[in-house]
Amino acid sequence: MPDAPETQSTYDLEALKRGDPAAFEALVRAESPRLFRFLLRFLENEEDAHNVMQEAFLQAFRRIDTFRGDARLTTWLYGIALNQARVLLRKNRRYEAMDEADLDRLQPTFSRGMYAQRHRPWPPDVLAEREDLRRLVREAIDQLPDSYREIILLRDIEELSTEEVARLLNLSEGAVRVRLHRARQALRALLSPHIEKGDV
Amino acid sequence: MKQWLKKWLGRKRLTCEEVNRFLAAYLDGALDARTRAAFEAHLQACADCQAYLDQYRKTIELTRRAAEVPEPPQELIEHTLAFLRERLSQK
Repeated sequence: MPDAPETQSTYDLEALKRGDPAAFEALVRAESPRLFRFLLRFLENEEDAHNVMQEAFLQAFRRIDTFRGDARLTTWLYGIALNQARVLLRKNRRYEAMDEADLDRLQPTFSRGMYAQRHRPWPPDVLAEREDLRRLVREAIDQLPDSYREIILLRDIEELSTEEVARLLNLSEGAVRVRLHRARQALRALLSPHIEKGDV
Repeated sequence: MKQWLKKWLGRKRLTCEEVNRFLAAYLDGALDARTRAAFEAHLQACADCQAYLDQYRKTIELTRRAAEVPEPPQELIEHTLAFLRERLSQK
């Protein structure tokens, strides 16, 4: 977690478990900005993101005794927030997500072990800041089924390690990589025609 | 059989499809040394796989950049702390 403001070792777990208000405040001050941004990306609504974050901290403080310490405290906190965000997202779904068959169609195909279609590198300037391309990428992410979108958000955007994502989602690391790979390939396939046609 | 020939015949060779299947593990640094060597040997000789890896990496970077969101409002932390103090004092 490169931009994490604090690491596990800086939180006083004993103080948190004793209910020390200063320890809770330190956790909220350090983790709120990043957790809020994660929830905002996930829920795409500031009010929802704020409400879910508040409830997640509340639950975390009330359940701190159940934290076993076998994951980072922040990973545990994200897990609580993610569970609450999922409930809200199911209620307020604003877009039609793809299904597994759609995702299958966006995977590359092979003939005798070789790519069935030729590939060329994308132009180097594809990474230049362009609002139209950012919009296309956001739309592509929004089309992913929830379980794939979560993995992209956690692994490629929040930059949690594969191990942390696996722990958070209760999956094996292999399963995380398979799902992540399918999601990345689907995004690549959705973006590729626009980039290769040069219309972004 | 000469040692170098034995080694050459015994080395692992991958198809494009296998290289594709290992992309996420490769970028995670999770391949064992033998598979990683075979992956990189294939990559060196295959323009299609090089191009695909380039697109795959750029997709990850584009995803990261597209998801940038504005800085949280200044009052976020104080509002959250006020909410928590109120709710926690109710128990």
